[in-house]
Amino acid sequence: MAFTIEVMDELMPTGEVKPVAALPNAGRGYDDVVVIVRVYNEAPVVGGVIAELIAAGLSVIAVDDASTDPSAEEIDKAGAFRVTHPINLGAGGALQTGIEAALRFTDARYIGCFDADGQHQLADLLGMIDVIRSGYDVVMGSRFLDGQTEMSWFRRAILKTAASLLNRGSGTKLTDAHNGLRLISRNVAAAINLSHAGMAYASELERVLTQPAFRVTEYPVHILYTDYSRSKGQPLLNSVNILAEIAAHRVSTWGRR
Amino acid sequence: MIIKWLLVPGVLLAVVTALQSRASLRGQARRKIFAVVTVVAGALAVLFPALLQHIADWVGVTRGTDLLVYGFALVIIYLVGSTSVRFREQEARIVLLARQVALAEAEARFTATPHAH
Repeated sequence: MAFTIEVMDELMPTGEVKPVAALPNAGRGYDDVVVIVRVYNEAPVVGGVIAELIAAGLSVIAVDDASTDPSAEEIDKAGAFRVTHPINLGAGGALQTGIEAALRFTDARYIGCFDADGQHQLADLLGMIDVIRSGYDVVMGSRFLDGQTEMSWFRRAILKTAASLLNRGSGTKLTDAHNGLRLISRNVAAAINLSHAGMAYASELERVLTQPAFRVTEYPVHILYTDYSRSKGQPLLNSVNILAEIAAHRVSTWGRR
Repeated sequence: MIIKWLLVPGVLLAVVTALQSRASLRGQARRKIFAVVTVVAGALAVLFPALLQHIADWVGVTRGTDLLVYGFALVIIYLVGSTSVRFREQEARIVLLARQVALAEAEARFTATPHAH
């Protein structure tokens, strides 16, 4: 798939699109998909993760969230389209940047989100692409649809609680709200406007994604909690942060829905 | 006692106005009026120390100092609320700015060297 720079001239309101360049590996069956990878200080692994996606024929937009290590060089070497934040904006901020970049620079029909730390698996994403092509707007990865992901009972309990808190009132019930592996169609992406910078973006995102107008489904994914992702990833205490943020969000938006 | 009828709505008003204080012209004007009133009230309290006690007696507070403390508490509640709102607004604006900078930089870099990647 070609990355395009849209002509933003007020004299040409038709929004003419001219292709600037084609990414390597375009045209191997995943032309209609672009994958957003949020990178924050993942230099040891991000190159391999992006290279695997590109080798599979996917286009990759890597949002470098103001990493202080050589992540940016690894991204460029791996061949992704890199967008670098001048300051750290957090997971939600990076996701929003990736979505805006995908809408602005690509003509992809489907936009995926993939973690840079190697805990997501390419096979799961490819499976989700098959599902969304069969006529869905949103495909959410879930760790709870089968028992293949190993996690501690505490993490499981926190994530389940978070999911049930988030699900209240929304149309579609999701079993796993804090899974980073997601696939959405272009029209859904255009509806997303995340204002939360921190981890609480998930609650905001879920509210958009589970609108009754969208056809939403879940897909069982398996997370690899490697030593690397364990050391980098969210420690258990951060789960408490997520819960607190969601609770605060619930209180502050109470009655405004 | 009159003070109860002043303090309870006062707290509510402080919270509501604080959370509504967007960076609007009206909010700015309100803050300026508030500053002038504070200066005048402070000067009056210094020039006529008995005045505070008179007001305290009238609204049903034992000492003028206590009245001052109540007023102080209201001001702090307002300040905490309005500061956090302003802080959050500022943060949201910085996020938008940083995102546009990032996208513009990526676009410029990609247009300059379209086949470098």
